[in-house]
Amino acid sequence: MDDLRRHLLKRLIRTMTIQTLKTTLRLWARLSVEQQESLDFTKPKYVLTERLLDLCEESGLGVKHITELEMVYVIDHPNQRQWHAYELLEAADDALSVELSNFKEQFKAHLAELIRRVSIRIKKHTDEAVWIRIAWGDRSSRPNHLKPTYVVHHLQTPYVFITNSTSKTMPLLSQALVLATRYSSMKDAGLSGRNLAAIRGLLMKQFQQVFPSKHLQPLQGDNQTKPNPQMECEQDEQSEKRLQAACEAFGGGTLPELQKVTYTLETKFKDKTNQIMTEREQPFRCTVTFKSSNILESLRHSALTGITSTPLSPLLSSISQKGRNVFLITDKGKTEDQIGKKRGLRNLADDVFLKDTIEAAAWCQLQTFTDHVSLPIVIGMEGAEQQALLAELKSVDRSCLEESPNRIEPFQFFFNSKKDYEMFCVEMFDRRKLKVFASWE
Amino acid sequence: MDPKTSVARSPFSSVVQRRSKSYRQSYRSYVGTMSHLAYTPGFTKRRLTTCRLAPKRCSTAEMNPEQRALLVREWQLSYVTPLYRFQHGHLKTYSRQLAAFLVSERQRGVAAEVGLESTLRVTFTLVAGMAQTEEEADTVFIKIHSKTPLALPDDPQKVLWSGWLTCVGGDPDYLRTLPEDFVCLPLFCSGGTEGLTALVKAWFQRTFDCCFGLLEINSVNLQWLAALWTDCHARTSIKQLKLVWSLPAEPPMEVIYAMHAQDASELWRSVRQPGLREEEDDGSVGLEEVACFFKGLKSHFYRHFRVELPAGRLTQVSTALGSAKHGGRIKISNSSYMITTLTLLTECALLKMPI
Repeated sequence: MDDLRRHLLKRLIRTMTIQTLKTTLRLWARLSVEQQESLDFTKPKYVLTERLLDLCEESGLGVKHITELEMVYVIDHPNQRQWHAYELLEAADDALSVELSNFKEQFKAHLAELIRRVSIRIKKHTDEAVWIRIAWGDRSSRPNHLKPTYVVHHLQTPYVFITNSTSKTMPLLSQALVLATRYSSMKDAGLSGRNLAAIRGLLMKQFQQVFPSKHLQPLQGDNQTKPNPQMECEQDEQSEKRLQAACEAFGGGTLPELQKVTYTLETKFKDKTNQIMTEREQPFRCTVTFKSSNILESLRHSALTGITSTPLSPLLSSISQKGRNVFLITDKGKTEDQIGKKRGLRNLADDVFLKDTIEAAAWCQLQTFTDHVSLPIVIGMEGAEQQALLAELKSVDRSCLEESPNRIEPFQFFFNSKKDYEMFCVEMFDRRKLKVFASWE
Repeated sequence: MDPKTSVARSPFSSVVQRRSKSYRQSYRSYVGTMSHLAYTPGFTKRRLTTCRLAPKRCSTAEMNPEQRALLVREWQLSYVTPLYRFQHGHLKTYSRQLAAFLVSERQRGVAAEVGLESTLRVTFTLVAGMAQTEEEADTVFIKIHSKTPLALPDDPQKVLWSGWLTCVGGDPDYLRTLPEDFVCLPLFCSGGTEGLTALVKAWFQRTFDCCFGLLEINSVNLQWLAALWTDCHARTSIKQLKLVWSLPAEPPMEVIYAMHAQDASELWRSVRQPGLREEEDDGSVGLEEVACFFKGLKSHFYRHFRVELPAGRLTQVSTALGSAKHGGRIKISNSSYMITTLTLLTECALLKMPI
């Protein structure tokens, strides 16, 4: 326990500057004024750490109090982490009446029900935000205080900001949050960034918005004298239009600080000069990331200089309008939901066999075959049924798999044409190296 | 003989006579006779390679351990003018001389460490099998180790710095015009602290009367690399093709465009125009094809974002085969296509040499 306390404190002090350490200790208020004054801040950090440990010993402060110190520091300096925004959906009637003590109690109770070894600290910050620090443990180990998850929630709003959460802990956290806030579900809002205030501002539309208007108003005073009056007139109109369009899309004044925007494009490649690619059935898959110290400012500036043409692409203007910075773009007709379903199906597929079969089936759906192809029946089944069939398949010895056709059958692809079958084999076995069953008649 | 070559060749003997030691005739002056005229179309065409051989795969089994050392890390590129009286037979002497030079340079500074002589060791090794033609000199690999006096002889030594000089697929006509005393190893790759790099360069400059300069990879060459690497996808997976552009906005903006390897490869195949080339063999790649490939990529991007990528600068290309940055940093991750990449870089280095 003593080691953990030392380790935590050492790590914490290493990340702080001396000045922040001073203020954080004052905010923490666990050490008396005399004790704080007795610290010599001109000494190196390791000496300070030792001295602080001695003081903690004196005042009987343990790991719990050090985690509190960490929390004070994180609340004061939230911008050193990557925050992810989540949105709560479908509020119950009493969602608006949830108050702090109630929320605290409910959240702790629900999370403790889901996982036994967990350490939770909840603190209300001055700006009405509730800060939650969670250290996760599992069946065999104590809560790990070195990798805590932080959650920020403003009561009565549908938004939650989470940092440092893993795919393992996320379902638990989401369930506890949903129950404690009286909502019915929580989804990823597709927004993340290092500046907590900025992503909160973007979601809650706390930035200067500019609305379309027929009469252009000078948005920024720009009194430059230009030699040719004729030219000035034309250019000014152009640049004013651009400015108006840029501010409508991204907002006016100082913009929220986002570091990047990511688009996953799964759209058709269309180019008049490239017949082969335009006729191609499958989408062109790529990921485009825009990065900058303030991406909205950069994009607005690029629209002013003409690097980004006006009218602006709806993809760019939806950053501010929808409050997102992670997008999945597909052609019309194939909605995000379908892809979500496909992903959900994939999540169930723990086993490589099932996963490969599903991937192969997804590929087949995108192809145009010359003749009929029947997909394995396992694809359309529920998760439990899939698992049962899989268990049956696994019970057969690998070497004599060929001898038990009824076990394989649910996983088999049937092709009516040999050409299709060969195309499938080349793609699946040679290129993707998948394990699937296929045959042709 | 080609008239251009003859014009270029005639002055070299006089150049060498006039400056007994220093060799200043460069590839550029050789290729375009007078490179201040080089921007006229006729000369530019001669200078820029418009057609390259498609990458050929060489198996890893052929690789020797020395070659494998070239793959490990990211290298900073520089060009070097031909080395005067560099002899591959004297590598051991060079090792000793460079070690002595490094130690003496260090001791000139304020903080002279006692006993440093025993803590630095330099090895020059020959990397065989890199040269493509007889005219090309063999690649030389240099390593600086630190060794502690108490270490056992078979203890692994800490490598402080490593670097290599190479020439792969250099223009044979140019290499033939070099006088006997000069060895052309135009591409210098270094990995380690800048201080040591500077010292090694200083020693080379002093010993072989050459000069070094930063080798940047311009966007045309980055595009070449992207296309050549994508061409390999049919044989070796490139995982994804990642291109990075930097755009002049305020604050500066970076666009990272990462394509699925399969789709990038199909786009590349769709722009290959076998009819355009004169010869029938499909082993070459034309500059128009590379341009067409990038035009396709940019138009797909513009269709979605209406952002002009050509307003910015291509700064980085990376695939599973390797990565290259505008600032002249390169990493080769797959040995199979190393020769292709190095051929291109050697050519860049030869073009970059001062007149």
